[in-house]
Amino acid sequence: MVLAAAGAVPAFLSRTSRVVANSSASSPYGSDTILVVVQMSGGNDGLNMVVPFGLDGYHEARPTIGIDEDAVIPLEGAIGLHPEMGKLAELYRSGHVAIVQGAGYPNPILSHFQSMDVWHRATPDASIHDGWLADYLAATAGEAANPMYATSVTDVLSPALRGQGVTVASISSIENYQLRGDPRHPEDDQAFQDAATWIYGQDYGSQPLQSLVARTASSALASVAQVQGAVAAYRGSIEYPSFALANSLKTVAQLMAGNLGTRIYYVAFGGFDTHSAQAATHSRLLGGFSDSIDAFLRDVADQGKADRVLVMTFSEFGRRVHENASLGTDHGTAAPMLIIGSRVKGGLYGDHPSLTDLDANGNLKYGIDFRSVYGTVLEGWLGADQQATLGARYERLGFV
Amino acid sequence: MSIESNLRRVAHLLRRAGFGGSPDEIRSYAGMDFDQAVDHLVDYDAVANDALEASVADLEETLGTARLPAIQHIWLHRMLSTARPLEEKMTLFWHDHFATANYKVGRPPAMYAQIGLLRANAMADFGTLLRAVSRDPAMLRWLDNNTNRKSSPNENYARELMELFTLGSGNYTELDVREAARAFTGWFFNRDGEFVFNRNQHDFGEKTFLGQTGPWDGDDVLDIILQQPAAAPFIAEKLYRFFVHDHPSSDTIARLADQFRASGYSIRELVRAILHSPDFLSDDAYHGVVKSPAELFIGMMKQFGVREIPKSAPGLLRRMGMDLFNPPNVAGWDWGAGWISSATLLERANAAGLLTAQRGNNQKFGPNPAAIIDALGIRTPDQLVDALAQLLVDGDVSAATRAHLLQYVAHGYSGPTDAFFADPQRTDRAVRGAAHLIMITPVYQMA
Repeated sequence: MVLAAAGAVPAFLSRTSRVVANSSASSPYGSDTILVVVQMSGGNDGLNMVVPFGLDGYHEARPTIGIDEDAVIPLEGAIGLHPEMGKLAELYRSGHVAIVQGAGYPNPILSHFQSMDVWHRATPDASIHDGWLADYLAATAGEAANPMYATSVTDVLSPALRGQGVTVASISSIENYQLRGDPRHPEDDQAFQDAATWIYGQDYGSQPLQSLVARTASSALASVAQVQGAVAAYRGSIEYPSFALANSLKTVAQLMAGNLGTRIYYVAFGGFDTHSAQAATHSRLLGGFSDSIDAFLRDVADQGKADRVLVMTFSEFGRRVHENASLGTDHGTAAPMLIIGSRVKGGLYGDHPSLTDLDANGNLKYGIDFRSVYGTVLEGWLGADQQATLGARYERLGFV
Repeated sequence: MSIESNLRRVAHLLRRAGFGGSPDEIRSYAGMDFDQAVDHLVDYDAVANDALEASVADLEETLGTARLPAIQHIWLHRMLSTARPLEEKMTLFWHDHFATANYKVGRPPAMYAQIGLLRANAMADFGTLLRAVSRDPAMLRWLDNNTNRKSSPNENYARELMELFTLGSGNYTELDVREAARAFTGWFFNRDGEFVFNRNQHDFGEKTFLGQTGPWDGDDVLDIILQQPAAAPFIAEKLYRFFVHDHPSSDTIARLADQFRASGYSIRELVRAILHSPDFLSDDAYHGVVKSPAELFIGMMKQFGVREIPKSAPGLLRRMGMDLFNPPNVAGWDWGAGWISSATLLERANAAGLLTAQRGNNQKFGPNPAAIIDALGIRTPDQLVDALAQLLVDGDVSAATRAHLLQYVAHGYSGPTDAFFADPQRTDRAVRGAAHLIMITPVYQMA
């Protein structure tokens, strides 16, 4: 237990306008560290992922869907992992996984969309703020220098990466990440590409949405050659499981092979809204997650980049402590975040929230403000100024 | 750019109240005065649609409704070929609003039936629509109401009903969520996919919901919701943003909400009021919202007179960010700027290129350059650029863009301008290439 956090976390501060500072983006780990954010959409049941099987109340609250004590993979004391997460347990035992327990925020919101907004924008009055990673990009001016400084491996760009004047590439299929002219007339292709580049280079000043299209497409065209080059450089031999997250992480590994100077990758996978018949779905998701992360980290190690990569997971909320009558769980609050990588100082961070001292809705009381995790990653891993990105300084956790 | 000409107004109307117009449709609607054209679209029950329904029945027969690509194909066919474009546009609106996804429901026939239910009630009064949706098997499965039992209520439907379907957050409490969940206990569906009320699983006890106490059931909850002042503006604003632009004034929304409430929540009258409003023809509205992938794709097919949905269509839409019957979550798709990313823009551009480069004897999917030149009497490259700009973006291109398009069309050609189209090869390249370029412009991404 590294930190008992509850009282030490700063109150929920409203962020002031973004400070644009060209801060040095170097950390003790170097100026080429890479953060891979993994979004688990739908509200991941943290209590059946990092299982507090030995804590009072766990089996009472979950007589049917609770993970049996003899099935849990024990980690430390009362805490273990879901039985499908064997690969992740191995990584934990190697000291490469930090588990931040009870991560959340005050006055938790039980709506998927509003709570996801809070996590994306790192603030409770979410709608008026840009995404926290967009703020990071603006503060470091990294994206201005390199259109691939942050890359989302999703078709739709996460709000975490959306912000005023920030343009982030999103790549869901490398094969399709190019502008194709008429295949019958390759002799016209140069003129076609030139015309497209000209069109997107124009000023659509009075039309904000058209301007956004032009800026985004311009940046896409500027990065097409790099992306296609990266794939050509990829020599991966690791077999990935057949799983949505695995496909995304393999794309990340392919892009990494191109050495494009990317510091942030963003991937997402869903299906965690397990209101009913949770066990089978959740097992499949957690097993797929664990196997995908394992394959990805081996691929990264093959590229000689293990020491540069840190994976951070989050979900918009955890789930209700007590199971419901549908053999599922309703929307909850605090949940563990996982920080994974060879440079991570592994272990459990923060105390597990009580399973019996719950809030008025029967939900966990959070222990660590998730912005402490963001702040630690920003400062400790990316070498960025957390004040410039989060508008406040949160207590550093010790995992990097 | 403003909407001074009637042709342009009608093209705008057909993009918003439909999926864009073919040149023939635009001409035909431009023959009415604008308000008549709006009413023709809104009062679509009076428009015969027999040919479409017959062709849909054929597709249901040949493709079936058991697989997702089949029902996606059939719906796209409706969007393309219906004589009632607003009916299909409203169905899409409600699909996004009551966003239900096959990745959880797992039964394409139930998804297909839900879309049918949304279509049948698309312009009904909102209470009728809500009562129908609350009994729809795909919805009951999607939000777990089929396991909402007296002994332990499942909150999923109750929560999203208020947050996303009727009131918006901030207009109810967690207690209201729990009490509404109790009211919907026992609203199940049976093995045949029919709604059933299971008395044994229903909680007949008293509930206090939004300040009113009684032995409420689901219909009572819907009635109480519609008594809330937040309900009418919530729906009015969402429809305004769908049809007009994303920055309505609060006065306008309040006025529309009052009318909506006074009309007994008639969706048809609300839509009519929005389309007749001056805002609808304002400069801010014109080319002021981002086309969803369905609008983009169906629109381009109509512009080139393509009659048959290609097999590749559902996959193309999915890669552009719109997997029909599979919205990303219960909040539906993220419209507006949410459609725009580097990945989706390249997909849009490449989908346009797929269409413009399509060749073959049967013009099932693609333009026919020689026919376009003939039909429009095009003699010179600048006439081609103007005609294509008119067809594709109502001529809404800047002088600089026009000049650049012309430069592209004429690149490598030094002969007399009126001999340009003498060479069929050159004609083919020029028409397809110029059309593709216009279709990747920012303005083409706008409805």
